[in-house]
Amino acid sequence: MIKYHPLTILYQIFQLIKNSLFLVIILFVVRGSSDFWLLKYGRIALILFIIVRIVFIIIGWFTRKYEVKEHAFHIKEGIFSTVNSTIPFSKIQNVKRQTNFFHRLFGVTSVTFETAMDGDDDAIVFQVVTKQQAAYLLSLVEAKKDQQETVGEAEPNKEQANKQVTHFRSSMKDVIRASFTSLSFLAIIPILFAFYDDILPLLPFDPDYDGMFQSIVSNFWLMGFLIFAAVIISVIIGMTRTFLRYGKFEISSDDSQIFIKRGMISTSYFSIKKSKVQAVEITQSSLKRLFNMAEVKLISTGKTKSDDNEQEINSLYPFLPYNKAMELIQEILPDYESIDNMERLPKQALWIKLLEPSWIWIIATVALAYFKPAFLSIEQAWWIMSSLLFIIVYMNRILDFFHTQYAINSNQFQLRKGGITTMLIMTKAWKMVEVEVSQNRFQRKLDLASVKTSIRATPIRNEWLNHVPVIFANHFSGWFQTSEQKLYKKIKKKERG
Amino acid sequence: MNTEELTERISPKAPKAWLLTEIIGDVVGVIILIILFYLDAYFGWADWIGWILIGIAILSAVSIIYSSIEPKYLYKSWRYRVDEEFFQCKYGVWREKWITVPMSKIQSVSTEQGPILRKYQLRTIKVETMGSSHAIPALDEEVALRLREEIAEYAKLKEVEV
Repeated sequence: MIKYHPLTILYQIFQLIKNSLFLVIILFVVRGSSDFWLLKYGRIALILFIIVRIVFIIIGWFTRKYEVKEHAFHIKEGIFSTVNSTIPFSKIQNVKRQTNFFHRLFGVTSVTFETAMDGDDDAIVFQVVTKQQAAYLLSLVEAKKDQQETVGEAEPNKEQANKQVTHFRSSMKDVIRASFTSLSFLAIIPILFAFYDDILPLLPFDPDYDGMFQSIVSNFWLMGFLIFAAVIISVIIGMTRTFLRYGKFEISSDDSQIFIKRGMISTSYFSIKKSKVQAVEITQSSLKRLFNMAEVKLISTGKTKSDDNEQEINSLYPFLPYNKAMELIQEILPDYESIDNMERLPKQALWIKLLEPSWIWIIATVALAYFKPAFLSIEQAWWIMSSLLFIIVYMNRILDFFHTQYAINSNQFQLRKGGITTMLIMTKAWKMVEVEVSQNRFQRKLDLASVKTSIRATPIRNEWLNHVPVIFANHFSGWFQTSEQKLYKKIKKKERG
Repeated sequence: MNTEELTERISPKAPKAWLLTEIIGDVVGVIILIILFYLDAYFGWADWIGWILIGIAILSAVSIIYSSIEPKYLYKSWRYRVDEEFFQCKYGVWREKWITVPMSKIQSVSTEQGPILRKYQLRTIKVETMGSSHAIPALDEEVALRLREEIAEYAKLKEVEV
């Protein structure tokens, strides 16, 4: 068994400092002169905590060891009681490799193997590894994952074995598009407002001066210029941010795996076996819908949020033109197809949707009516807010009615829904943990029913499809059962042969 | 809903057991409410507390009436079916649910018995998947034990990773 890279200690201390920096600033700088007892003891507690953590980090490094065997990782850890665990490569759901600023500084990288087979998250993390070691680990795991049998998926074509194909590489055009749709350039507006007061004294006139017209005109030109300059600066800042984040984005795949690389300074690499993709989700905010763009995410049971990055790493490029996104899905996941003629909800569904009480609105209105908060010194503010909320809730419901579409084919289920933000989810029958069909008394009168499917993911994802014709609900349940039976037969056959 | 296939029913003793559970719960609830009303009057708590208590009292009265009727209808609505491939159940008075879980997705099966179920010699079967759990409440003991073995057998048969 070998120890982890010694830089792991430094990395963890670095992370510790990063995470406690905020508290340190508050306790020692901002309120540094305060004698309030809570702050006084807080300072001592913080110092003690940091010292203890550092001691634990160092001891932890000495006690944590790993070994790579032919088919599995062996990990030994623990200070007081040791835990030995064996994680076979076949349990690995996805692979992440992230190189942030710290790694770059020392010419190393980090690798995470997400397992989360049955909902419990249990990752194998190498916070610091040399690049060679990382490459070695990746090659081991990714190669081993290949040999694992695929159930329910199309058999990989042996003839064009393991040829890696690049499907998408972000171009300058994509970055420009991305920075406009993400509205990242708007980030500067609050800063501008903050500076407005500082700019006023610089103006070549007194705003309180009598010559109103004069001041407005000169103000107009000056303000125009300032706004223009601000827009230019914010666009540049926004684009740089987007460029650093989404520049050099690359999606490729071979016949069993998908690879996503991205980032300029902090780079990340993500790979997932095609058969471990539980569902594909395509989301469109209203702005993206306007520009016909979409974000595609691969849903899997491995954890996809990384700790020091708010972005989900399972996302294919978040600013793809919708058609390109659909093409991409079919290229990298040939098992999935986009079903074009989807069904819409029957008219009765809209009435039920509108008649359902909105608990959020009721609770908010009761609270508003009781506290009657006067906003901007308008006394009637509470019922204005209540009606606004009412309009938003019902707008969303009506939009959701028009957006909802669904379809099933031989083994795929496809559902589109959502009000302001829409989402299209595609999944396979054998990826569903269960199916629930339900019907309340109203629905029974109108021959409607609701369908709930649970998709394997961490945490499990429940997708509701409400108020479909009862015939479809029954058909859906039957479809789910037949696909399961087909899969069962396939497995049996495999076991025998 | 297309649930004709689901033929098995739970024990006819179920409504009695549920009713007893409800009654015990109601008695405890009513005692707590009475104590609160007494404390309210004795210490002269703020007005709004009194109103909330009255509100709770009305809601509890409604729920007591409903819960004394519900067990009979809930029992009537219950059906289940367990075969080699699926665990299925259907129940609900106001909203009827029909749940289908493939055996391959079941991770554990267990039986449970509280004091009230023990009194009626009943057991609950609990089936867990990776993210949900479903129960068939109130089965006769021997039926429950046999069913547990059956589910364990079927579920284990197909432990395959997809």
